[in-house]
Amino acid sequence: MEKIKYTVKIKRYNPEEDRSYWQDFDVEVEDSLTVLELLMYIKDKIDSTLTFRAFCRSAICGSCAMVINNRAGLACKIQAKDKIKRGVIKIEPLKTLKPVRDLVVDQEPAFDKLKKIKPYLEPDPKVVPDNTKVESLVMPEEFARYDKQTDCILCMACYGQCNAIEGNPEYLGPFQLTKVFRFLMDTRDGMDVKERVKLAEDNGIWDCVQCQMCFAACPKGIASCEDILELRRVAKDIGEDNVATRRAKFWFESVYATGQIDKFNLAKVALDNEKGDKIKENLEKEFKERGIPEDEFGPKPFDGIEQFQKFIKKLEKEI
Amino acid sequence: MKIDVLIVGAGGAGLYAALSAVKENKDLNIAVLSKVYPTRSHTGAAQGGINGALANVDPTDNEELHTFDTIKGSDYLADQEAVKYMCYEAPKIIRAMEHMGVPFSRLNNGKIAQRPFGGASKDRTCYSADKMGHVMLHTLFEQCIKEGVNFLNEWFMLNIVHNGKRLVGVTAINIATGEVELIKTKAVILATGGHSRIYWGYTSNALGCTGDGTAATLRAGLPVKDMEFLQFHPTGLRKSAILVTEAARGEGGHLLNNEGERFMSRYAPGKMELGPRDLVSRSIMTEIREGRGFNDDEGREYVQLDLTHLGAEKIKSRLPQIRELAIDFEGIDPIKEPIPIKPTAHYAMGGIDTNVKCETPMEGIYAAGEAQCVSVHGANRLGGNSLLDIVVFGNVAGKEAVRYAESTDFAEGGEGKKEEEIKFIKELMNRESKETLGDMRNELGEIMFKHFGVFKNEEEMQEGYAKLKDLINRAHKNLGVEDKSKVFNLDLQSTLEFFNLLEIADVLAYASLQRKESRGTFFRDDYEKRDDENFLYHSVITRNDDGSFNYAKGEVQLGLYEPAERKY
Repeated sequence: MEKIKYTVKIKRYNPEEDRSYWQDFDVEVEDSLTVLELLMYIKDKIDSTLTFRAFCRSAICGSCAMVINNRAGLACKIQAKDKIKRGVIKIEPLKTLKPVRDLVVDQEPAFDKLKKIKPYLEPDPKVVPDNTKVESLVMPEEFARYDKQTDCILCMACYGQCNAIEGNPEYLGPFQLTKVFRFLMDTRDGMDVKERVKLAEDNGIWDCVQCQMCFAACPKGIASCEDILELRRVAKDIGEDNVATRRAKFWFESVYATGQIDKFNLAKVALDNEKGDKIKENLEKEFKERGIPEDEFGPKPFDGIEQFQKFIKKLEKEI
Repeated sequence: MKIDVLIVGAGGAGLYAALSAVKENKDLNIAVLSKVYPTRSHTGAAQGGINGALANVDPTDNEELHTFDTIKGSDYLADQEAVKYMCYEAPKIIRAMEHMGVPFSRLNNGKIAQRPFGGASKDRTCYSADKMGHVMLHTLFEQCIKEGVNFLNEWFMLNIVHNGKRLVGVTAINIATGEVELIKTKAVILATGGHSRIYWGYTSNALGCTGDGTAATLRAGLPVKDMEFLQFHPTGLRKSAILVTEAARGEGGHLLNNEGERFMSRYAPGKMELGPRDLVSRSIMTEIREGRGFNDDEGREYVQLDLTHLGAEKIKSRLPQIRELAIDFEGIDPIKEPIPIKPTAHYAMGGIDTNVKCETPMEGIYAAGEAQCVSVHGANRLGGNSLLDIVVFGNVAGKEAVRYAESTDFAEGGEGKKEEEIKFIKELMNRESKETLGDMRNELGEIMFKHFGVFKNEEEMQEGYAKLKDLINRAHKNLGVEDKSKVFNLDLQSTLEFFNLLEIADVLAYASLQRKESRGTFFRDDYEKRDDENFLYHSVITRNDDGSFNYAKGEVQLGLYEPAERKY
């Protein structure tokens, strides 16, 4: 049994004093411990006040998500020795949720957002029988479309790592949007596609910044960022005048006119609401502060744009 | 706080009970109290599947065969009418959950897929890869959101309060604030799960499977039943005792000893690796005892579960979670190497004594799920029958509790109990610890595994019981709570859970000593045969005020099949 020595640096939170602080624990332990076993060792042997959630210890209940060396994940699934950097492991609570005590965070806001998207099957009477003598028929390839998404254990590692939430605290979050995708793809679901998509649009799919950190954090390998892209495609396909169609139209027009995407005006045109105006205002302010001349806020046509436009016209005719 | 129907526990039994209660009467105030967020519950860790004679794979299957297999598997200790009820409900309730959105694996014709499982005569186990419990738990939770079920999340039940005639309420602590409350309720459903954590380091169970409801039942002077029957699952991972599903054998996995031999041919030539769990666990332990097991550098003894011949594709599609667990917790990829495994304490057949309507002898108090003992599993549960049991009896309990709550008003009293709890917790917080909780928990696990493990005998059990009594005395004298905070004090909660474990270990040890025979999972070297003449009964135990036990013999309801020798 090999023992190794290292320091566990834990970001603690004392609710009575509303104070966060770092504490170092020096340990000499077996090299085969998971991060959860390491925390249990510290609680059992060094400091019984250290507080963290844990339950199944086999990566299925989702209790022990936390930030380990700046990356959210399940403490029970990660080998401690893989995370020792220069003799130190750093452990913190999930960052986008408020700490309750030490590594325990208040998950309710994230669960409230889950409830908003109606995370349940609305059975389609054409597919789901009204009696229990028979089951609905689902072909294996139909199930395969959302099989992976049903692996989600609501651990919130993705939510804790999400950059869009840092930008917009109202943003629904990755696992919530994966749940929309899961039901949208289910052939048994009877909720109107437009309603499902609408639930995903409000502070949802258009706010995702596609940083893919949700995928990097997910202990089950679910790519919420991909599900979000798919939801955007569906939104565009079913929409006549919505964020998706306006966005697509503006992209095309902007590229046609200048050869580049006009990111300065994109949010305003696509969102077509106060939030869009606000984003443009903020950009304007930032550009001014950086001393960028006003006529350079948006893109200018590049030299020889006429050739490019002719090419596009030709393509359009061929299609 | 006043709640018409309170469900304690948010696993499969609790959530199904809540759904059935809400559907029965929307106007009642119905709530689920759980010490963890609902989707953390241990139902989610169930892997292999749920049994029901849908006959999708084998058209010759039917409910009667399921009933017989279950009774035979129980070594004839199950109540036969109750088993029949469960098995005939099975296809209906599985389809009802399918209609709710449970993502089952499917056959090429679109129907729910089914696989072979231990002790079953047909391919009867419906599944969703190897995460059946997970998808069931999440779907039931989704339905609770849809139906607007109320939740008291991260509340820990302390005790059941009754007035000798009927239920008054329960006391519970709000973990977030540390406040103790008396929750007045007309009916309570105890769906608090199993108690295999008495084997602390030797169990597949979650850290919180501490039998809180069962222990509270004992303290309330109500009976527990068949507590000596606790199942060892044959295939736990060598280091962590984490479960490797029976589906691994259902899909064709082999058990090998250190000679590379499929040793099950000696013990169950007909069923091989798909013998019932009790038999396979004993066979593995016999191989190890007789020197045909493996040893690792740290002195752990084990045998191998070989999946390599199944091929990468089948392992990835049917057993993805098992592959992940083996890689994460043993550093072994089952596509390339056999998995090191050993038996692990897994499931409590015994529990709170109820009838088939989920009623305890006290008006207003119901139980469902692993916490409950009807009994449908008798001396040994078949794989795939527990996910079934929890929803079938969760459903019954929900309806029955609503009917009772509709017929009555809140009982008076109970405030004194709240004061008692506050006083007790204060004492515990002020007590200086002379021993640590961590050490004591490990000690409990060691005692139970060594003296009340897969094989038992009088001498070892007596020795173990003396050690256990000593541990219990020391715990009540020496164990305090070092963490003094009111907010999210898990040190306090773990200490209270440990007291529950001690309570249950005590009664399990006591019940084991009374049964001088071998039946199902309960196996004694000194009484190797089943003895129907003297021991075909349910042990029914209550705790007297002086701490001693009262032992009664409950009738086993036969009537369908005469007890016969159990061969596989």
